[in-house]
Order: sequence, then C-alpha cells, then structure tokens
Amino acid sequence: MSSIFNIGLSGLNAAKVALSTTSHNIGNVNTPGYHRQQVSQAAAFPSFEGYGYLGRGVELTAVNRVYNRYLERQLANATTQDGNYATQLNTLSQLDDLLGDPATSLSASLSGMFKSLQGINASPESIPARQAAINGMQAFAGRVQLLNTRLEELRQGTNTQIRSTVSQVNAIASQIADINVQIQSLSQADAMPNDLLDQRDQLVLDLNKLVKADVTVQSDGRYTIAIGSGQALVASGEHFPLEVVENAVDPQKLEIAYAGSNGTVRIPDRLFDGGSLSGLINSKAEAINRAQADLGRLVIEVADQMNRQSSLGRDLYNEQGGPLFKDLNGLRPVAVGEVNPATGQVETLESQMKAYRDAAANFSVVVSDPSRLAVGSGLKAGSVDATQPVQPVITSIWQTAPGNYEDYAPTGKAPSLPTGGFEVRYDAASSSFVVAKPATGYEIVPNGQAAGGFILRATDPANKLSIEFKAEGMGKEDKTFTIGNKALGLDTAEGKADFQPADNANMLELIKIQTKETMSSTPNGTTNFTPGGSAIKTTNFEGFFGQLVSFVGSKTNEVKVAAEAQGSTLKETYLARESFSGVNLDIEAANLIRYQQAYQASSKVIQIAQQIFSDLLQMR
Amino acid sequence: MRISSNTQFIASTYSIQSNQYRLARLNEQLSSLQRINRPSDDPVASAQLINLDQSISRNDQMMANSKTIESSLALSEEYLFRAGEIIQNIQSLAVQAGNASLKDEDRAYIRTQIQEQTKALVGIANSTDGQGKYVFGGTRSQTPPFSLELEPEMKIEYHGDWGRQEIQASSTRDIAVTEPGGLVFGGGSSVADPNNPDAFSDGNKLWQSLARLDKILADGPSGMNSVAGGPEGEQVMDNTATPPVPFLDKDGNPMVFKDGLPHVDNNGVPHLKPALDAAGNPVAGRWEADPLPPTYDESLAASISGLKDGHEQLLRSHTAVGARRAEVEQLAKTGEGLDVQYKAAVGQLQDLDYAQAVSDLNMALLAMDTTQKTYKLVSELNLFRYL
Repeated sequence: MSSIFNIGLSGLNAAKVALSTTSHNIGNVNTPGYHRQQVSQAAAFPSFEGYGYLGRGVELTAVNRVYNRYLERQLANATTQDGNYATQLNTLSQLDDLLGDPATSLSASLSGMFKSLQGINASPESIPARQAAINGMQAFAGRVQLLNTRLEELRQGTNTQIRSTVSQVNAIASQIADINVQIQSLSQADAMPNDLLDQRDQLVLDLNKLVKADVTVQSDGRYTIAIGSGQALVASGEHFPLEVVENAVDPQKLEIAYAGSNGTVRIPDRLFDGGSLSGLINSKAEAINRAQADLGRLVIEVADQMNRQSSLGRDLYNEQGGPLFKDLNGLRPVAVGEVNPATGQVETLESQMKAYRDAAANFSVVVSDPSRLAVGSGLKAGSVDATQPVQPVITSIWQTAPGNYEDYAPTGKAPSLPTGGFEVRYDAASSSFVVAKPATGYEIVPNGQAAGGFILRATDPANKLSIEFKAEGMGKEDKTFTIGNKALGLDTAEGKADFQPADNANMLELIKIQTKETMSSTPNGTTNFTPGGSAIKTTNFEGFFGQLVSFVGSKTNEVKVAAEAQGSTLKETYLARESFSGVNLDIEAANLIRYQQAYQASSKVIQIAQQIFSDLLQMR
Repeated sequence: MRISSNTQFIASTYSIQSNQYRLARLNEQLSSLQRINRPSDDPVASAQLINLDQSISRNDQMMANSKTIESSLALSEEYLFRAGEIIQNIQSLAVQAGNASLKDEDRAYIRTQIQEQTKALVGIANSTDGQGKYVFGGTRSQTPPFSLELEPEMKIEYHGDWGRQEIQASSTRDIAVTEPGGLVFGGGSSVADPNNPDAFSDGNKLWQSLARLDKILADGPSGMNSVAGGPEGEQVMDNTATPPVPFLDKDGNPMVFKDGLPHVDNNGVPHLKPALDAAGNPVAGRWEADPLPPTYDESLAASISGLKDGHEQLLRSHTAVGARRAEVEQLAKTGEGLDVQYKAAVGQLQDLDYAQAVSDLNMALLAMDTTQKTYKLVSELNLFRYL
C-alpha cells in the first residue's frame, strides 16, 4: 500500500522537477549564454518481494545543461576574429571617408596651390596675384593641418579605446576568477551549478570579443585563461591584470604589458591576433600610422623642394628669396636601422613616427609679405663689353635647385656659382655655347626639355650646380656673355640695380615641381616608413598622395571583405550552438503539457492509493 | 536539424541587416550617381582619379594660361602693328626729303614731322599694359625702356634688358609673352664711329637712321660735304709723283698720290690719315685716304635703307609674336580636346551604371520586403497560442 503512495509521490516529484526545469528554460529563453537544461530520471532500484522484483517508482539522477565544448570553442574563435575585423573596419572606414572626402582631401588643395602660383606668371609684379598665391599656399597648409588633426583624433580615439578595452579585459578576468572560486566551492561529486557555468562561459565569450583568450579546464572544473603567447590572465582563483604603458620614444604608441609574478612584461603587438584589442592595435599600426607618416613625409618634401628653389630667386625688393614654408628638414628621419645624422640615434619605427607626426603638425607657410615671393631669377647675363654685337641675346637665365635632399644636405644650401661667375661664349662656327671662364669643370648642353634652352652644368657629377638659360638670335657672329648673381637691392638715385620685376624665371621653375618626380614610394606599411636615400623617386606629390589613398582604400576593402566573411561565420557558429543548446519554446510548451499530464497521472495514483486505503478502513 | 526559438530571430535579423546595408549602398550610389564614393569602393580607380584630377586641374590651368598669353601677345601685336605704320610714314617722309627742289624751310618742316613721328614711335615703344607695366622693357618693366632727347641732337637710348617674361603653356612649353624692346626696335641711336655716321650697326638701325635723318635735315645739303663718293679702302700716296694740290709731309717735302685723286671735300680739305705699320706707328711718308664725310644724298640713302632694315627687324618680332599666338591657339584647342578625354576617363572610372543600379535596387527592395514578411509570419507560429 505504502509503495503505491511512494511510487505516486516519486512520480509527482519527478514531474514537478521536470516542470520547473521546463519553466526555467522558458524563463531564460533570451538569456545570453544560457544552455537549455534537462532533467535525467531513472527507474528506482526495485525491491525483491519473493515473487520477483517490484518497481519502486522514479528517481531523479541529474539536472544537466546541453553543452558541446567543440561548438563553444568555435564560437569563441569566431567571436574573437569578428571583434578584430569589426573594430579594424570601424577605424578604417573613418580613415577611408576622411581621405576620400573631397572636402578634406589634400589633392584639390595641392593643385589649387600650384594653380595660384601659376597666376603670378601672368603678372609677376602684381601684388594681388602674389597675395592669391600666398593664400593658395596657406589653404594647402590649412588642409594638411585639418587632415593631420583628424588623424590625431583617430589616433587619440584608438588610444582611448585601447585603454578602456584593457580595463574591460581586467574587469572580466577578475569576474571569471571570482566565479572560478564559487564554482569550485559549490560543485558536488557530479552536480555542477549549471547557471554559474553558463555565466562563466558567457564571460569567456565576452572576453574573446576583446582579446583572443585560450581556455584550459582544470580537473577541478576551474578555468585557466591565457592570452598572447600563453600569458595567464586567470589562473584558478587569481587574475593577473594587464597594463597600458606608453612607448618611451613615442608616447602616443601604447603597449600592452602584463603584470605577471615576475614583474611587468611587455607583450609584443604581433602576439595579439584576435579581439577588438588587436583590431585597434592593427588598424593604428597599419593604417593610421601609415597615413600620418606619409602625410609627414609629403610635407617635409613639399617644404624642402619649394624652399630650395625659392632661395635661388629674387623677390620684389630684389633680395634673395626666403623660405616659403617652415623648414622641416631637421625632422627628416632615415630608414629604420640607419643612424640618423640629426639625432645620432639609430632610427626606429617609433622615432620615425614621432618625427613625421611633428612634421605634419608643424607644416605652415612662413612667407606673409607678397612682395617677398621670389618670383624672379637670381642670375643675370650680359655682354662682356660694349664691342659685342647686339645679338644673340640670353632672354632668360635661372638656377635650378638639385632634386634630391641628399645632394645638398651636407651644406644645406643649393650649390653656388664659382667666384667671379662665368663667361660664356657663343661660337658661331659650331653654333654652340662654350664656357670660356672658368676654363675647366663646366659644360653647356642643349636642354632637350625646352626649345631654345641650354643647361650649364659641372662636369663633375658630384657638383650639382645647374643653370638653365634661353638664348635667341644666334647668327654668324660670336658673342661673349658674363653670367653672375644679380646685385641686390632696388634702383637708387645713384644708379640702376639689377632689379627686374617682370622676371619670373624662378617661379616658372618653382611650379615645375608640381609634376617633378620628387617622392619615392613608402617601403612597407608596418616596419619602415622611410625609403633609403638611394631610393628612386617615382612619383610627384599628387601621385604620392594617390598611393596613400589607394593603400587605405585597399586596406579598408580587404578588412571589409574579411569582416563580412567573419560576420557570416560568426552567425553560422552562433546558429549551430543555438540549435544544439538553445531553447525551443514549442518543445518547452509540449513538455509543459507532457509533465503536467505526468503530474496529474501521479496525483491520480495517490488518489487511488488513498481510495484503496479508505476502502480498507470501511471494511469491518 | 533542431531549431531553437532564437535561430529564427538571429537568421532574420542578420538578413535584414545585410539587406539594409545593400540598400544603403545603392541609395548612396544612386543619390551621388557615382560608383565610387570612398577609396575602398575601388582603391586602384581612386588613385587613378586623383591623378586624373591633377591632370584636369593642370589642363584647366594651361588653358587659362593660354588665354593670358593670347591677350598679352595680342596687346604686343597691336603696338607692333601701329609702330610699323609709323615707320612707314617716316619712310615716305624720308623719301620726300630727297627731292632736290626742296628749300631749307621745306626740310625744316619735314624734320618737324619726322620728330613728331619719332616721338609717337618712342611713345609706342614705351607702352604699358593694363597694369601699368612697360611692355617692351624686357623684365625691367618698372621704368620706361626708351628715352628720347631732341636737343642738341636726337638721341634714343634703351634702358630695359633682354629678358622675357614667360608663361607655361603646356608641361613642356613656356611661351614668352613679352618682347624686349632692344630686340624689337634696337638698343640705341649712337653709332660706333662718329667720323663714319652712316655706318649703322645691325639691330640698332632704326634708331640710328632716325637720328641721322634728323641731323642731315637740320644741316641740309649746304651744311654738308658735296663731293660724292670716294673710295673706301687704302689709298696710298708717296712723294714719287707730283700731286694736283701740293701736300707736304712732315719734313716739308711735297707728296704725290700714287694713283687717282686725293679725297678733298668741298672746302678743299684732304681727308688723309697717316698709314700705320703693324705695331701701330705712323710710317714716314705714307698716308691713307680717310673716307669723306658723307653727302646729304648718301646719308639720306643710308637712312632710308636703315629705316627699311629697322622696319624688317620690327616685322620679324611681329611675325614671332604672331607665330606664338598661333601656337597658343593650337595648344588651347589641344587642351580642350584633352579636357574631354580626361573627363571621359573619369566618367568611365566613377560613373554609375544607372540601369544596373536601379535594377539592383528593385531586387534589394524585394528581398527586404520578403525577409520582413517571412519573419512576421514565422514568428507568429507558436504553440503557446493554442494553450
């Protein structure tokens, strides 16, 4: 009799537990990281009654979560890669928009600057035209500043995110360490606190979003979590926090350090290969740095090339031309691994980066007086004496600055004329110009680039002196010219100076810098931003900027494709885990009915047992 | 396969999101009508576009430069045309001055006319452009290039230089927009040898002829030598023959001419100078004939010829300016052609295939609509509705 009661009771109990587990499942249908739970039950051990074994009802064996370690690991990997690419894409898209936006792009203002300089040639002594040229240069410098400021903001933003990501990582790691302790203390022989396990797994997943973390399960059920090349972030109940430290050379470069038991150790960037932390580090190292380094290198070269040609000319006061832009040559870095003559230090990626950022930040126009623009040539050519015939005449003469910084770097100045200048003779018999004085060391060749033009240059390739002139009226008579520097100063009452306000030979040479091949390509985006001194110049300023835009575009495109693929992978692995461990409300609804019926049936058993019992009591 | 309740939700939101992304991109392309809206849309084409933008901007600049060159040259050409007319006027006045029946008053009248014309000519040579800079001063455009003095005798000097202002007309061609006045008109009126006033030098003949013309009109035939001609080279005489007029050497001995007559002007003064040996010392008893001062007619002929040469020199400059204008016009046309080509290249790189984009948009809208409807229908399927 009592066995019927007991059996009914055990059934009632089992159904109630199953019902509450089902309700638990329904309640947690939207809980992140929740794994559906199942009740395991078995028939109770039967009792021997002589005639055979009699069943004793049902017994509950366990409440388990539906969990597949393989699927969980896949999900963690997909999450960490998704975090990496999504974060990179976020930064790169901003850079992509910045460089592609016509309102902030450099290329239009660069063309605009040269356009305004061209305007001077139409009327070299016109102050409005010169003012427009200064405005054009200032507009370009302003655009460089704008771009650089936006890049700095992106860098600062990335740095802030790195700091906050690291503190998030530390917070999650400390929670995991706490839960590790709780789980250990709550675990019984076979029974695990399922919901705590879920919570810990979800924390591991959250951690993976930030940084790739490898989980090892210890025999007592606690997790050991390692990042990078095996630095333990959580071991048992302890966690070892990460720190953000500034690079000694470039404080804007943040490094991740690990406070292990043996002191602080810096983790090399390349060891982070997943999570938004690596996305931040990568996008900064590869794209923002490259963009800013290229911008810095561009403006160092623009300032250098323009200033050098300007210094060879004469302004409207007939004084030697001054610099147009602030001189940035002092910041010019060399290739990584070479000794920088300016600092005496071996160049590193960090010192290059610092120099380029300083260069971009300091790029500005220094000429403010329109009359100070060196439009005219610094040279003059005249007849050696009055007995010379009128023709031929030299109609313009100017000096061209060497194209490479390395060519004049030792002196910092463009090469100067020999003492006493030149005497140049037109030899009618051979229809050519020859250098009469100095007797050796110089030659004159026709300029293939310009009709009627000649180049006077040194025969020693190490001497980079180059003078160009145009002559006309070459006939049957010899004529000797003197070539020398113009006397400084304006016309005075005492006499005529060499002041030629309509002379624009220097400006004509200056604007040719726009299409000259002055830049060599950036060697590689991650380990060196500066080509060696012997690198071939392959492109002009605009083309160089185009290379940068193309680089950022390709990089963004590459990351976009990867992010899309990774997003889709993440979705698939998530769905795979969901279909295995997720709650299906329809099934749970069916289970509710099923367990309710079981409960009702067990109640009926008890009711019948009670009926039998009272029937027995009424028999007397 | 087992489906969890979240499966449907996750899959649908993912689809809705990617559909929304596609719609946003198509919307962006259709509203800008550009295929490339940021460098990552097509990195290679973006770099090409930057280079093309520079080419277009430079080409625009070259076309604008061509217009500037054209207008500067047109101005020079106009001045040169007027200068040519004045020289022609002076030439016809000079021809009139050769009329043998002219009296001194007539010549004075012609001289006044020529002086006025010369002033006009120098005035043109000192012309300024719209900004007040001197067109024919070479690169010394701040001061008038030519000075003219009429007294005591006509003197014209050039104070400019021989430089030219140039403007870039194409990447390899700088075109001069000014002509130095020294090359166009000449460098001054003074002659190398004052004893030989009709020996004009190449390049300066216009001013030299004008000054000479002014001088001979002032002097008139009566104020000048009347004996025409006279051999140019060496005429050697010694004391071996009796001269028609007695000449004495430094020792008081009579000299005779070896051949021909001595050169004597209308005052009976012989034009002789001691012959020099190789070392530059006079040779005893040997004399050379010195050319006679020119006569009125000779000087007039030389001046008329000089004016003609001067006019030709001006015409050469005029032709050069005209040729440059023609070249600039050609370059401007080439520039316009290039502009069309560059813009076509830009179009090919970044223009949107409109039909394709609209068709893509319709597809994307349909996909979005279907996804949303499916989500709604499936999410309504729930057993709890029947409990």
